[in-house]
Amino acid sequence: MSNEQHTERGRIRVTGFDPERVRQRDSLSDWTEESGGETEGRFERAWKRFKRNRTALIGLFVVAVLTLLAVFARPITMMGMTVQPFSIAPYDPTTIMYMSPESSAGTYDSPTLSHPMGTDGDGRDLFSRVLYGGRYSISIGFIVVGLSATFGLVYGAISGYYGGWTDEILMRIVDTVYAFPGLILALIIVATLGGGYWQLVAAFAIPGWITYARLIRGEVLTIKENEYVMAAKALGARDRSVIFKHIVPNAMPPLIVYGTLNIGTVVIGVAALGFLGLGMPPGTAEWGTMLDQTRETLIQGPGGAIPWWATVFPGGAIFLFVMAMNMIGDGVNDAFDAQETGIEGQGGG
Amino acid sequence: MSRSSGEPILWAEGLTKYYDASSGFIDGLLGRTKWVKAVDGIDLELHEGETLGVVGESGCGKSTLGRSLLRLLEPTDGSVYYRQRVGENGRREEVELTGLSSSELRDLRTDVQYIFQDPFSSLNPRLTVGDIIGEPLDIHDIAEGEARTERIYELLETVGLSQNHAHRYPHEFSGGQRQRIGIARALAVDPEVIVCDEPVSALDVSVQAQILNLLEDLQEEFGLSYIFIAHDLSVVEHISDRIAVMYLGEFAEVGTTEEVFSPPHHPYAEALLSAIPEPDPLWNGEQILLPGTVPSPMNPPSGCRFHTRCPRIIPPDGIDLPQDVWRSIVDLKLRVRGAEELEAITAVDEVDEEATDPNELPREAFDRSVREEFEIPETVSDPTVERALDESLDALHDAEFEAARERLEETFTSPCETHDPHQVPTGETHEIACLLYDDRYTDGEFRSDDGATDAVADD
Ligand code: SF4
Repeated sequence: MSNEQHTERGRIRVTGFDPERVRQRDSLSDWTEESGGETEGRFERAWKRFKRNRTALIGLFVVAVLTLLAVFARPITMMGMTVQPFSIAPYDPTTIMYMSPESSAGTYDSPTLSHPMGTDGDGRDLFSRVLYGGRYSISIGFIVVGLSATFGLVYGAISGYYGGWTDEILMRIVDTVYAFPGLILALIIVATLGGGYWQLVAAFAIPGWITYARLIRGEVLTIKENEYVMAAKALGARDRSVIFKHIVPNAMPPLIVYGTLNIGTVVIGVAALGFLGLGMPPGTAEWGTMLDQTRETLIQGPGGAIPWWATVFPGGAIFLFVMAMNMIGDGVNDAFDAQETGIEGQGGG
Repeated sequence: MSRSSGEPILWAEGLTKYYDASSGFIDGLLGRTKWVKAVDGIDLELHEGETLGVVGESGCGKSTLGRSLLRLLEPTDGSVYYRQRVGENGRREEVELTGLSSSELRDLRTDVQYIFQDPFSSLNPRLTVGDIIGEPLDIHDIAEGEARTERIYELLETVGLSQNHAHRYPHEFSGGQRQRIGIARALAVDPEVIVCDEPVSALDVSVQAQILNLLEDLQEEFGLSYIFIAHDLSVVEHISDRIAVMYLGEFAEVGTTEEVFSPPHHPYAEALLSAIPEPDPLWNGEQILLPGTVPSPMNPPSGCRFHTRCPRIIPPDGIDLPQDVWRSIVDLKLRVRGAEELEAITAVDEVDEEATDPNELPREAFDRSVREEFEIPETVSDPTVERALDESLDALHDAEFEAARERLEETFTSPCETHDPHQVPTGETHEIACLLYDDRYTDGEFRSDDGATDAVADD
């Protein structure tokens, strides 16, 4: 072999790169059936992590207890049939105690054994009212989030997926709604439609969906860039199946996180409207409305004594629920986040 | 274009894809549309059972070409034809892909398929491998129930995976295995043509060879035709029958693999070839380094798009200079063209002790600094050139950019800037788009056969 420098290619060949020879190569991955372990989806893994998060579990427990208490507070009858016969609350939330002959209770009675949370300004049993009040706050929270998340999801997905003029128009509508602060818009809606359960739902769902729409649109814009979306189109998939099979499921985690936190926000909002006297009709056992009715006692109660129980228990219920909802929300967030980084380490080569 | 025998199975005429790069809908309303010319009038042919390699630097539009060919991106202009198999006797009928309705196109997806570059983002992380491979079966109602499962298992084995992999998720696999899943998905519809968009460039070198082998085996087994996109000539060398070298949305050179790998070369292809690493320590071949980066496809250079970087750019008639000096002068000219201040032309730091600002340099020092920056000798051998250079440096020194530009353009305009090179046949099946090989251009004379120097690349 000469030691001359030369410019001719291919004199030395690295056989590993020679396609003729490389056929005898071993498998390069050490992945085997055994080492693969149990397969689990994204949500299962997130749930596993969530279960290990103690704060989130406490939150979940509190929400579950509050919900159960609200459901079982008084019997529920539907179309003349009693579907839920239990009654944890000792009294009907609207019964005025001093009107009933067998009770010795008056207005603003401090907590006693027969009235663990005392009575309110109209002499109603606060314990029963707090338990029962959860029905309004909690159910409005879930319904509003369910409605606005569903609508926002479809709206945002369409906007983000089609882009162009569709996106432009849909997003300008969102911007218009967005220009009003959410609570102000809710106030206006309740002021026009009047108070009441479904009016409250509308008041929070109408400004509520835009955040979901924006969130999902942003997610979709990112996910759309993934080659698997183009791959689905290359296979001949229709738009609808591309959106709902490939895009939306991958956009769910942030939606779930935001939705969980949003339930708490809605409950506070409902209470705030109630406190302003705009939510449910006065006298309803809704947490915020209950606070409104004892508003004047915050500074000075009857006879100079402040009946703290009239505000502390309904307020405490709001606090407990919202706090628990936030703990769950954070837990869900962490569960998805950690799992996101878990995926990064996989694969290669 | 190509004169190889037989009719092509897939071919494109004047395929063009421009992207709208205007920055929002106000721009759109005002009609201020900026176009990114990603693919600009490409003609190509793919024959049955053949592999056509498409090679170019990133940003040259090769992926856009692959996607517009299959209408994954809607082409701006031009047509793509496919000769579809009709009936059992292998008779084929011509369909214009670019004229199909979206449902007809959906049906045609069983014939033309695509393999993606990134094995990580091309598989939906939320679907199992079985569902990923089963998706095309569902879309086209190819198989259901038992048969579907059978087909999925069969496909997994075809690409070298095992049946048990069907119930796992993509993140459990390595890059090479994921690419195999992507290949199985493309094979599911039993296609005839597959566009492979850099299928190995995201993989380890050692895995690349396995995937390339797999693709070759599948081609043999199923009689597939490939368009194989890569950014590197060494990858396509073994797998391709023909190669097209792409630069800024156009083909610079097309030919069989041997033709592209041996002279005559398009200067760009030559540079790419020289960049292939050689494991031989005694190898002393010259590496041609291309200056700068690929110009923006939003505003591609006039004439030959490669002239801003071409080492062999043709000097105008009557200028006699060593090639590297001539190249340097063109570089200077191109720099002055876009410059608004002297700092953009020469950065002064240690040329003169006192002056740090090129605006304050004395004429002498400025001259030196510019020539140093562009590696132009102190005095250029050709007196005409020297005078023109001197005068434009004068103008530059006085910050009269317009005058300097004019002076430079007047003397130093290469025919490469003003004439769009046609595809010139240089062999049986070999074509090069470069004025060096163009018959119309001889001895510094340009005989424009069509009387115009427009951008229509006819053939
Ligand atoms: S036409 Fe001129 S600039 Fe273009 S490749 Fe040929 S020599 Fe270079």
